[in-house]
Amino acid sequence: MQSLTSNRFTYQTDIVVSEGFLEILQQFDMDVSNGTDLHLKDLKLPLRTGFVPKTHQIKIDIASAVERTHYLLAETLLHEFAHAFTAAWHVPTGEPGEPWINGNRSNEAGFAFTLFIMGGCPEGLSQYLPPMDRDEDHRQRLCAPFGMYFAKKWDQWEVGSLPGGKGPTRVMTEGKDQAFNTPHTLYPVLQRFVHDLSTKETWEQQVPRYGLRSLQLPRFDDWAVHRLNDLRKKGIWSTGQNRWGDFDNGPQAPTWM
Amino acid sequence: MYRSFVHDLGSPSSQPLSRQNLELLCRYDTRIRCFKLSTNDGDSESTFVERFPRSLAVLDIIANQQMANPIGMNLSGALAIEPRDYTVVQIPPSLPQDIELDQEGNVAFKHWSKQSANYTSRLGADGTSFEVRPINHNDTTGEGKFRPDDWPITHHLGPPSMAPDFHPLIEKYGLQVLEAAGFINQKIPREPYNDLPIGPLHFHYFRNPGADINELIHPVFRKHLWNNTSDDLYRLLLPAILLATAVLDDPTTLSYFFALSEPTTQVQSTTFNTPCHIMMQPPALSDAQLVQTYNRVCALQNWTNWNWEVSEVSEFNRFGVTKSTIVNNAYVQATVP
Repeated sequence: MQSLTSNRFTYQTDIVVSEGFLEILQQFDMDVSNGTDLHLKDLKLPLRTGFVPKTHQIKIDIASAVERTHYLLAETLLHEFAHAFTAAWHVPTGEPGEPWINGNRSNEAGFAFTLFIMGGCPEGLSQYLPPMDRDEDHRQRLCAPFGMYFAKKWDQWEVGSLPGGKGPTRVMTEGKDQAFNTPHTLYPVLQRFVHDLSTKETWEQQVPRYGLRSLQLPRFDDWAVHRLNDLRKKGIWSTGQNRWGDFDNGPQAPTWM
Repeated sequence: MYRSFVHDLGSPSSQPLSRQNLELLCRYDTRIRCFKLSTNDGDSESTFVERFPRSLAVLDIIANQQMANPIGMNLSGALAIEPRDYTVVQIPPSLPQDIELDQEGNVAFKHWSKQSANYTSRLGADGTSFEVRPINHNDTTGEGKFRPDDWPITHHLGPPSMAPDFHPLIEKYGLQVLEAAGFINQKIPREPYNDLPIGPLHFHYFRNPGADINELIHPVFRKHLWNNTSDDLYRLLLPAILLATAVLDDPTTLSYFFALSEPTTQVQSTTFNTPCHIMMQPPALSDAQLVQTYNRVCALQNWTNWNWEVSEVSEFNRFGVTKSTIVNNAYVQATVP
């Protein structure tokens, strides 16, 4: 037993995973057994709350969406396990306790590990319309109705501490200004790649031959979107500023290119 | 061990490989190739041939002998396998650049978001690019045509609706184009996961003699470590758990975890405000180090457990949280039993 102020030891941990994963997988499983389509309705909900007209709608393939949720759950398990392993085997020298890992600005062991394995830290594309519940946005990122994205550098604009300044600062001070003045590049995730994670070909041919390199997310530079570091952030993605109805604060500059 | 093993194989005319040796070879071949990955050096095939001519030669022998395949790996095709290269519609839709003058009379380009709603796109005939044309909003047929031979509106570009705050990717391309390019739907039926030897092809063999799915799962993901998770719920997690198992078992991952847990692979930071370690490049591991690291990973089954919760994680939109265990107002140390 170590007192709560001591930080020179290795620790046991409790891992918490978002219950949202369980609800989504359970709902889909019930749909399969009962012949219902509750999960599909959930996937379509952001289309409705986003007032997407019939002419702009898409069909969402439910199997693809569930594959995304499986992938995101696996990513979460690995992310949290990396934290637990670090806590159990790495003796910290102080706060922050996790080591910095080459190629990251932030010393978040979980993201650094998924970056190493997958070449990115993907999550679901979402649509946020105030006053939407925070949990609704969370759910969209888990069930990923519109596919997934990952950032070229996951921690490019990372401030290190949790919102509200909670927790220690965990970001390099060096090069901070430059990182914040550089566009944040986001790539879409090809669904074929997600699908292939569960194929025989991957595990019997690609992985034996090329190792975990087969799990690296493909990057399509032509398809990337570059977020500009807008200071007038609104909502979550700070897009659609010409549609917010907020014209009192002067002209609305685009926040991406 | 690998070196001596390959050495024992001798020349192509030597004894046929025993089943046991083949399994060994596959295991060690996996390992070597993974270490190459962990050094992050440039490219695949040529480097592989340069650095591991011996293992390729061995694979050649096996292919020539057309041996029965004892562990279900397609060894005869091993030399023909190309690294997978994903293709997507190479050229995303682009808008003609409208030049206009701003208030000061300077040339300014209209931003995509201001004009994309006026364009429609469709996949080109060869499938490598999108065609784009402007929409005639006054066309009474609803097909947005300027001329009778214009193609009808196929995919709307730009934001799908007037609601704010879609993800920038959706804001730019629109849902229909993302779908057409394969970023949302993939209509190949999923293979059932329980037929797969998903994973390691490595430590896998030490604990999966009977291909029992429960034995396939990495010890740190076993059912008894999941609180408040019934058998039925646990079954739903299997695809994710098997994928995570495969990653944890891989030698690349083990070399990474070795570096995390070994002080000699880290240097003390001098460039940060707070003292901390910097992890260096994961090293190639010896057999002993590999086993040692595997045991360290497995030791986590005594030192962590899995729980479900929503309030704790969704506050900052996180998918999970790892917290130090606190018992009687004190941390519990992870000590070797």
